[in-house]
Amino acid sequence: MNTTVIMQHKSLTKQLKIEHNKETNTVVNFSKLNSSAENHNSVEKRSSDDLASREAVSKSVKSSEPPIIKAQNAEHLFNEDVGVRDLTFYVPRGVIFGLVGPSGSGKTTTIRLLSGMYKPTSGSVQVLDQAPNHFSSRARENIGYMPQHFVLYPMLSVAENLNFVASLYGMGYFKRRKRSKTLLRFVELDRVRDRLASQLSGGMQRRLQLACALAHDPQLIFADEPTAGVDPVMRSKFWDHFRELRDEGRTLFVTTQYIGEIENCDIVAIIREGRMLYINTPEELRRKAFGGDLIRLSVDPKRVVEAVHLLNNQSIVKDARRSFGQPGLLLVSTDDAASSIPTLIAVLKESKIDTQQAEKYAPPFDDVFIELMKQDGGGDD
Amino acid sequence: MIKSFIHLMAFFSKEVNEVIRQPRLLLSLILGPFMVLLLFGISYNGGLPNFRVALVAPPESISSEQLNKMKESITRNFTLVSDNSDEAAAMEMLHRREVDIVEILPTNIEQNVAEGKQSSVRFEYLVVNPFDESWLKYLGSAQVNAMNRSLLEQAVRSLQEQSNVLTNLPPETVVSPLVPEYQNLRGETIEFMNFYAPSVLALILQHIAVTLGALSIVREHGRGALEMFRIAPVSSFDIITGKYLGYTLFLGIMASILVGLIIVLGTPFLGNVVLFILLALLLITASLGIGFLISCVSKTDSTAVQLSMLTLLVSIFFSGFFLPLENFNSLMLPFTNIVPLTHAIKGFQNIMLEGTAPSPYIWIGLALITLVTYIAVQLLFRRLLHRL
Repeated sequence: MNTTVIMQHKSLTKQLKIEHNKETNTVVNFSKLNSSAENHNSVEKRSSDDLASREAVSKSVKSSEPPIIKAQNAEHLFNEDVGVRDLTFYVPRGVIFGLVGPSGSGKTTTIRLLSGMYKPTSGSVQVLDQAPNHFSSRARENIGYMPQHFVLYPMLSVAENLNFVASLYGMGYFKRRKRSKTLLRFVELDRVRDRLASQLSGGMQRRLQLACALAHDPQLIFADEPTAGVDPVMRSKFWDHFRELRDEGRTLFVTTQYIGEIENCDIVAIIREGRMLYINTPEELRRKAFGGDLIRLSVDPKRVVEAVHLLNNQSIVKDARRSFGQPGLLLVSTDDAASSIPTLIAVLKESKIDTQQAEKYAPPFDDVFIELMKQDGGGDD
Repeated sequence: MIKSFIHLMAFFSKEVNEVIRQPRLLLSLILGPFMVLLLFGISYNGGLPNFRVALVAPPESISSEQLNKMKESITRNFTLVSDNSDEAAAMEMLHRREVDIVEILPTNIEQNVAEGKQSSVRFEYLVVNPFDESWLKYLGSAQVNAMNRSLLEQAVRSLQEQSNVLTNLPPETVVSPLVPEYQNLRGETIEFMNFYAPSVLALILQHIAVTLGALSIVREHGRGALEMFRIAPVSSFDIITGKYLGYTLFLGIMASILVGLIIVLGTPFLGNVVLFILLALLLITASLGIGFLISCVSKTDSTAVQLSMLTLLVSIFFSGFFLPLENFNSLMLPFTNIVPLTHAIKGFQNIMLEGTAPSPYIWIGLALITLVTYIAVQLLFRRLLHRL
């Protein structure tokens, strides 16, 4: 119950923030994303029909603003069956793109493919309008990379590590100094700027790594499992940072194996065994998993069976079932929760069944993920 | 161009900062080798091996006067532990390792001479070390020569008394008309520690440069930092050259401190300081090149350390550090030239001990090693970056 409340609260906060951003016109791209997402038929799934759907998305994105990342049937195989294959997706500018999947699913390989460390064995990848394995220096200066592990120098201080990475991008002394102050404040490491990296906690090291990825003010940031091994409070802070960066107009390509973090992304791709199974907004993924919006209704436990029968006979209801864990609770699937709730309450009232509570229910993304995996035939994994 | 300079300086300061952040490493790098040199100087006397001798002199072998002279001759190079006529007892002492040599004088020497026969002075020993055996034979031979001279002097003296021939000449002049006379024009004889100091300095510099270089790239590879370099707009040229600069500065400072310390210990520095600095820099860059090569081909830290130690062993054996290069098969000589230490030892000795400029061969040798390894490291590192 608490989880649901928290999730709803988060969802509401996010919606409010999006609305606010729309009003203040600070995040134009998100609305574009939403429109592009609306233009294609909700959730995408890997199939031949789905490819056509992805084409539609790409066209829609292309028509508004060129995507920052384009992958077309891209493949990178280490041997015949290990690697990533058939990657076709587009990332618009100014969004948080989350790549979610279990360990070993191909998240890091995808990031390496997009950042130019790997060359596609077939298909094509374009990042910032260039093939990553032939990035120009200018393109590289627009890319930030946060590796999965702490790769900085334990015997250098926080400020020295940051200074070193900024130097790699050709930033002059004064520019580095100024940027370093801003970034250390941003990741809340300004008080430990002279501490050796070896003396930082794991969370601090991850924040330092993030600061280094941002040292040169990149437009596109690849973050490979930035929250892995980080406590929940720190994870939340990381996502706050990512949202701030997104709101500044940057694009973030973030991988994670924490399903719950899907909520923080604007677009999510689910990857398994080297293949992208779904790409969509979190909300659309949720709808895809449960066949539409979910509504939670609370009625008299003695009349719950009658209520289920009654609701299942309504044309707007796709599925209605009782919750065995909580007597009197019903979960109803419809196309649109907002318009369906008054109708459902009225239908029940006609049969003299009082509705004690009715609300749109956003199930946790762990449940969404499991449901999607089941639909993909991999639920037992 | 400016960005390339910023990259170079980034690696330069990073390497320097990393090293100076490790005071224990600094201490072990500078004080450690200095202490080794100091202990070597204090403890190594550089003299001949000290052999313990049991002398077996049969009663009828030699007169007591001759025997005393012989003992005097023996004690010049050996330690005389026992002196009797019991050969079996002396051999037992040898087997009990109480003596190193049993020296057995022949019987009836004078009678044998009168009969025109030579007599053997037998040296029985149990020695493992081939260098000790060579010394033993050399000193034994010198001792027998001294004994021969003594016998001849006695014979000449008898002849002079009996036949009045050459009576105006002393018997020792007749027997040994030539005597050696030595004079080292350089001045006083240099002490062993001072002689070895330039070689040890070169060895230390090479070893530290190889080790630092060997651990440098492999550690960054293991840590994942190469991923960062791969994505950043930084070339392998900037990375490697920056590393060379950083380590060369650090090792240059270290070399200056070590030279200062060994001069305090009494090692002469007779040559040109600028030439010495240039040669030291060439040694450092050549050694760093070998270290970076090791780093590029190693998968782990331990492999890099093993290969560094192997390089150290090769250098000690094939550089003339303690085995003269002239003693090696001529086929091996080209191989010795790919060891930076081979050139550095000669060059440092030239400058510090002789006050002369190293030959062009030395400069060319080190410069070639530097150039070839630098190119190889650039190629290997580039390949490493692209095969992440």
